[in-house]
Amino acid sequence: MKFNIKALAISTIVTTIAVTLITLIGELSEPFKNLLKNISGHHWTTKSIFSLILFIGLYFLLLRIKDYKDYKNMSRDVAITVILSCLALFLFFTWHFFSK
Amino acid sequence: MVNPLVGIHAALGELGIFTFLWILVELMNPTNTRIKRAKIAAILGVIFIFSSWLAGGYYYLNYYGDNVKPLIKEGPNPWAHLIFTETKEHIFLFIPFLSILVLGLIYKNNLLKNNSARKSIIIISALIILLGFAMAAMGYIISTGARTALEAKVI
Repeated sequence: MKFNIKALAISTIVTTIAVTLITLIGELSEPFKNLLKNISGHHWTTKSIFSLILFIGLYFLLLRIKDYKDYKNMSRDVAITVILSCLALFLFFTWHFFSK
Repeated sequence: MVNPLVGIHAALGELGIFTFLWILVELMNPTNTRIKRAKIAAILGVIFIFSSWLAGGYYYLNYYGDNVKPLIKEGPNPWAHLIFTETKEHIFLFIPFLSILVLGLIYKNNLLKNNSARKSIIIISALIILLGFAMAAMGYIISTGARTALEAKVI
Protein backbone atom coordinates (compact mmCIF):
# COMPACT_ATOMS: atom_id res chain seq x y z
CA MET A 1 0.00 0.00 0.00
CA LYS A 2 1.37 3.41 -0.97
CA PHE A 3 0.36 5.85 1.74
CA ASN A 4 1.59 9.44 1.70
CA ILE A 5 2.69 9.85 5.32
CA LYS A 6 3.07 13.63 5.14
CA ALA A 7 -0.53 13.91 3.90
CA LEU A 8 -1.69 11.52 6.65
CA ALA A 9 0.22 13.42 9.35
CA ILE A 10 -1.06 16.85 8.22
CA SER A 11 -4.62 15.46 8.04
CA THR A 12 -4.28 14.07 11.57
CA ILE A 13 -2.90 17.35 12.96
CA VAL A 14 -5.49 19.55 11.22
CA THR A 15 -8.39 17.25 12.22
CA THR A 16 -7.21 17.19 15.85
CA ILE A 17 -6.98 20.99 16.01
CA ALA A 18 -10.30 21.43 14.18
CA VAL A 19 -12.19 19.08 16.54
CA THR A 20 -10.69 20.87 19.55
CA LEU A 21 -11.54 24.35 18.25
CA ILE A 22 -15.08 23.39 17.17
CA THR A 23 -15.68 21.86 20.61
CA LEU A 24 -14.40 24.90 22.49
CA ILE A 25 -16.28 27.37 20.26
CA GLY A 26 -19.43 25.25 20.62
CA GLU A 27 -19.19 25.38 24.41
CA LEU A 28 -18.71 29.14 24.39
CA SER A 29 -21.35 29.94 21.76
CA GLU A 30 -24.83 28.47 22.16
CA PRO A 31 -25.91 29.38 18.57
CA PHE A 32 -22.87 27.54 17.18
CA LYS A 33 -23.59 24.47 19.32
CA ASN A 34 -27.22 24.55 18.15
CA LEU A 35 -26.00 24.71 14.56
CA LEU A 36 -23.90 21.58 15.20
CA LYS A 37 -26.94 19.88 16.78
CA ASN A 38 -29.22 20.84 13.90
CA ILE A 39 -26.94 19.35 11.24
CA SER A 40 -27.20 15.73 12.45
CA GLY A 41 -29.40 15.76 15.54
CA HIS A 42 -26.48 15.78 18.02
CA HIS A 43 -23.37 17.96 18.26
CA TRP A 44 -21.11 14.93 18.81
CA THR A 45 -22.41 13.14 15.71
CA THR A 46 -21.76 16.26 13.65
CA LYS A 47 -18.22 16.50 15.04
CA SER A 48 -17.63 12.79 14.30
CA ILE A 49 -18.86 13.06 10.70
CA PHE A 50 -17.03 16.37 10.22
CA SER A 51 -13.76 14.91 11.51
CA LEU A 52 -14.02 11.91 9.15
CA ILE A 53 -14.84 14.09 6.12
CA LEU A 54 -12.06 16.56 7.00
CA PHE A 55 -9.46 13.82 7.51
CA ILE A 56 -10.31 11.89 4.33
CA GLY A 57 -10.83 15.03 2.22
CA LEU A 58 -7.58 16.63 3.35
CA TYR A 59 -5.65 13.39 2.79
CA PHE A 60 -6.79 13.08 -0.81
CA LEU A 61 -6.24 16.81 -1.37
CA LEU A 62 -2.64 16.49 -0.16
CA LEU A 63 -1.98 13.08 -1.70
CA ARG A 64 0.41 14.44 -4.33
CA ILE A 65 2.64 16.46 -2.00
CA LYS A 66 6.22 15.26 -1.58
CA ASP A 67 6.45 12.76 1.25
CA TYR A 68 8.90 12.95 4.19
CA LYS A 69 12.37 11.48 3.91
CA ASP A 70 12.74 11.44 7.68
CA TYR A 71 9.83 10.95 10.10
CA LYS A 72 11.53 12.26 13.26
CA ASN A 73 9.77 15.64 13.34
CA MET A 74 6.46 14.21 12.15
CA SER A 75 5.86 11.99 15.19
CA ARG A 76 6.96 14.84 17.49
CA ASP A 77 4.54 17.31 15.82
CA VAL A 78 1.62 14.84 15.92
CA ALA A 79 2.30 13.92 19.57
CA ILE A 80 2.60 17.56 20.70
CA THR A 81 -0.61 18.54 18.85
CA VAL A 82 -2.60 15.66 20.34
CA ILE A 83 -1.27 16.15 23.90
CA LEU A 84 -1.90 19.94 23.83
CA SER A 85 -5.41 19.39 22.40
CA CYS A 86 -6.19 16.86 25.15
CA LEU A 87 -4.93 19.28 27.81
CA ALA A 88 -6.89 22.17 26.28
CA LEU A 89 -10.12 20.16 26.34
CA PHE A 90 -9.61 18.82 29.87
CA LEU A 91 -8.62 22.20 31.31
CA PHE A 92 -11.48 23.94 29.49
CA PHE A 93 -14.15 21.54 30.81
CA THR A 94 -12.64 21.74 34.31
CA TRP A 95 -12.71 25.55 34.18
CA HIS A 96 -16.24 25.47 32.71
CA PHE A 97 -17.47 23.29 35.58
CA PHE A 98 -15.96 25.43 38.33
CA SER A 99 -16.95 28.75 36.72
CA LYS A 100 -20.70 27.94 36.78
CA MET B 1 -29.47 -3.23 34.21
CA VAL B 2 -26.29 -1.88 32.66
CA ASN B 3 -26.58 -1.49 28.88
CA PRO B 4 -24.33 -4.16 27.26
CA LEU B 5 -23.20 -1.69 24.60
CA VAL B 6 -21.02 0.15 27.12
CA GLY B 7 -19.21 -3.13 27.84
CA ILE B 8 -18.84 -3.84 24.11
CA HIS B 9 -17.49 -0.30 23.56
CA ALA B 10 -14.98 -0.71 26.40
CA ALA B 11 -13.94 -4.22 25.30
CA LEU B 12 -13.37 -3.14 21.69
CA GLY B 13 -11.43 -0.10 22.88
CA GLU B 14 -9.24 -2.22 25.16
CA LEU B 15 -8.59 -4.71 22.35
CA GLY B 16 -7.65 -1.78 20.12
CA ILE B 17 -5.23 -0.43 22.72
CA PHE B 18 -3.66 -3.86 23.23
CA THR B 19 -3.06 -4.23 19.48
CA PHE B 20 -1.02 -1.01 19.56
CA LEU B 21 0.87 -2.34 22.60
CA TRP B 22 1.48 -5.47 20.52
CA ILE B 23 2.82 -3.33 17.62
CA LEU B 24 5.07 -1.40 20.01
CA VAL B 25 6.54 -4.61 21.42
CA GLU B 26 7.05 -6.20 17.97
CA LEU B 27 8.93 -3.14 16.70
CA MET B 28 11.25 -2.72 19.67
CA ASN B 29 13.56 -5.26 18.02
CA PRO B 30 12.09 -5.96 14.56
CA THR B 31 12.60 -9.00 12.34
CA ASN B 32 10.66 -9.89 9.19
CA THR B 33 8.34 -12.16 11.19
CA ARG B 34 7.71 -9.47 13.83
CA ILE B 35 6.99 -6.86 11.15
CA LYS B 36 4.48 -9.22 9.52
CA ARG B 37 2.75 -9.65 12.88
CA ALA B 38 2.82 -5.86 13.47
CA LYS B 39 1.09 -5.36 10.09
CA ILE B 40 -1.69 -7.75 11.10
CA ALA B 41 -1.95 -5.99 14.48
CA ALA B 42 -2.23 -2.57 12.77
CA ILE B 43 -5.20 -3.72 10.66
CA LEU B 44 -6.86 -5.29 13.71
CA GLY B 45 -6.16 -2.13 15.74
CA VAL B 46 -7.87 0.14 13.21
CA ILE B 47 -10.87 -2.23 13.03
CA PHE B 48 -11.17 -2.40 16.85
CA ILE B 49 -10.85 1.38 17.29
CA PHE B 50 -13.43 2.18 14.61
CA SER B 51 -15.79 -0.51 15.99
CA SER B 52 -15.37 0.99 19.46
CA TRP B 53 -16.20 4.41 17.99
CA LEU B 54 -19.44 3.03 16.48
CA ALA B 55 -20.47 1.06 19.60
CA GLY B 56 -19.59 3.90 21.98
CA GLY B 57 -21.27 6.47 19.76
CA TYR B 58 -24.47 4.45 19.50
CA TYR B 59 -24.52 3.92 23.28
CA TYR B 60 -23.76 7.59 23.98
CA LEU B 61 -26.46 8.88 21.63
CA ASN B 62 -29.21 6.35 22.37
CA TYR B 63 -28.77 5.39 26.01
CA TYR B 64 -26.28 7.52 27.96
CA GLY B 65 -27.88 10.90 27.18
CA ASP B 66 -31.36 9.91 28.39
CA ASN B 67 -30.52 7.52 31.21
CA VAL B 68 -27.05 8.03 32.66
CA LYS B 69 -26.29 11.72 32.06
CA PRO B 70 -29.27 13.08 34.09
CA LEU B 71 -28.51 10.58 36.86
CA ILE B 72 -24.89 11.73 37.18
CA LYS B 73 -25.80 15.43 36.92
CA GLU B 74 -28.34 15.11 39.75
CA GLY B 75 -26.02 12.96 41.86
CA PRO B 76 -23.27 13.85 44.32
CA ASN B 77 -20.55 13.86 41.61
CA PRO B 78 -21.90 15.88 38.65
CA TRP B 79 -18.31 16.65 37.61
CA ALA B 80 -18.05 13.02 36.47
CA HIS B 81 -20.18 14.01 33.48
CA LEU B 82 -19.46 17.71 33.18
CA ILE B 83 -15.69 17.29 33.16
CA PHE B 84 -14.90 13.68 32.32
CA THR B 85 -17.62 12.61 29.87
CA GLU B 86 -17.29 15.90 28.02
CA THR B 87 -13.51 15.48 27.81
CA LYS B 88 -13.63 11.76 26.96
CA GLU B 89 -16.17 12.03 24.14
CA HIS B 90 -13.97 14.58 22.35
CA ILE B 91 -10.49 13.19 23.02
CA PHE B 92 -11.70 9.82 21.74
CA LEU B 93 -12.14 11.40 18.29
CA PHE B 94 -8.34 11.76 17.94
CA ILE B 95 -7.60 8.03 18.32
CA PRO B 96 -9.05 6.62 15.03
CA PHE B 97 -6.90 9.02 12.98
CA LEU B 98 -3.77 8.19 14.96
CA SER B 99 -4.48 4.49 14.32
CA ILE B 100 -4.67 5.13 10.56
CA LEU B 101 -1.37 7.04 10.73
CA VAL B 102 0.28 4.01 12.37
CA LEU B 103 -1.24 1.72 9.72
CA GLY B 104 0.12 3.97 6.95
CA LEU B 105 3.61 4.09 8.49
CA ILE B 106 3.77 0.31 8.90
CA TYR B 107 2.67 -0.48 5.35
CA LYS B 108 4.67 2.26 3.64
CA ASN B 109 8.13 1.54 5.02
CA ASN B 110 10.78 -1.12 5.21
CA LEU B 111 11.04 -1.11 8.98
CA LEU B 112 14.28 -3.12 9.03
CA LYS B 113 16.03 -0.23 7.25
CA ASN B 114 14.02 2.89 8.13
CA ASN B 115 14.75 3.54 11.78
CA SER B 116 12.94 6.91 11.94
CA ALA B 117 9.73 5.26 10.64
CA ARG B 118 10.07 2.51 13.25
CA LYS B 119 10.62 5.06 16.05
CA SER B 120 7.66 7.13 14.82
CA ILE B 121 5.40 4.07 14.94
CA ILE B 122 6.56 3.36 18.48
CA ILE B 123 5.94 6.99 19.57
CA ILE B 124 2.46 7.19 18.02
CA SER B 125 1.51 3.72 19.29
CA ALA B 126 2.63 4.78 22.78
CA LEU B 127 0.46 7.89 22.43
CA ILE B 128 -2.54 5.72 21.44
CA ILE B 129 -1.90 3.45 24.46
CA LEU B 130 -1.66 6.49 26.76
CA LEU B 131 -4.91 7.92 25.39
CA GLY B 132 -6.53 4.49 25.69
CA PHE B 133 -5.61 4.24 29.36
CA ALA B 134 -6.93 7.77 29.85
CA MET B 135 -10.21 6.68 28.19
CA ALA B 136 -10.45 3.67 30.52
CA ALA B 137 -9.73 5.81 33.59
CA MET B 138 -12.33 8.39 32.56
CA GLY B 139 -14.83 5.60 31.87
CA TYR B 140 -14.25 4.34 35.41
CA ILE B 141 -14.80 7.84 36.84
CA ILE B 142 -18.03 8.23 34.83
CA SER B 143 -19.28 4.82 36.02
CA THR B 144 -18.45 5.81 39.59
CA GLY B 145 -20.45 9.03 39.10
CA ALA B 146 -23.47 6.98 38.01
CA ARG B 147 -23.02 4.43 40.82
CA THR B 148 -22.79 7.06 43.56
CA ALA B 149 -25.93 8.72 42.18
CA LEU B 150 -27.75 5.37 42.32
CA GLU B 151 -26.54 4.81 45.88
CA ALA B 152 -27.77 8.28 46.81
CA LYS B 153 -31.12 7.39 45.16
CA VAL B 154 -31.30 10.66 43.25
CA ILE B 155 -33.84 9.27 40.78
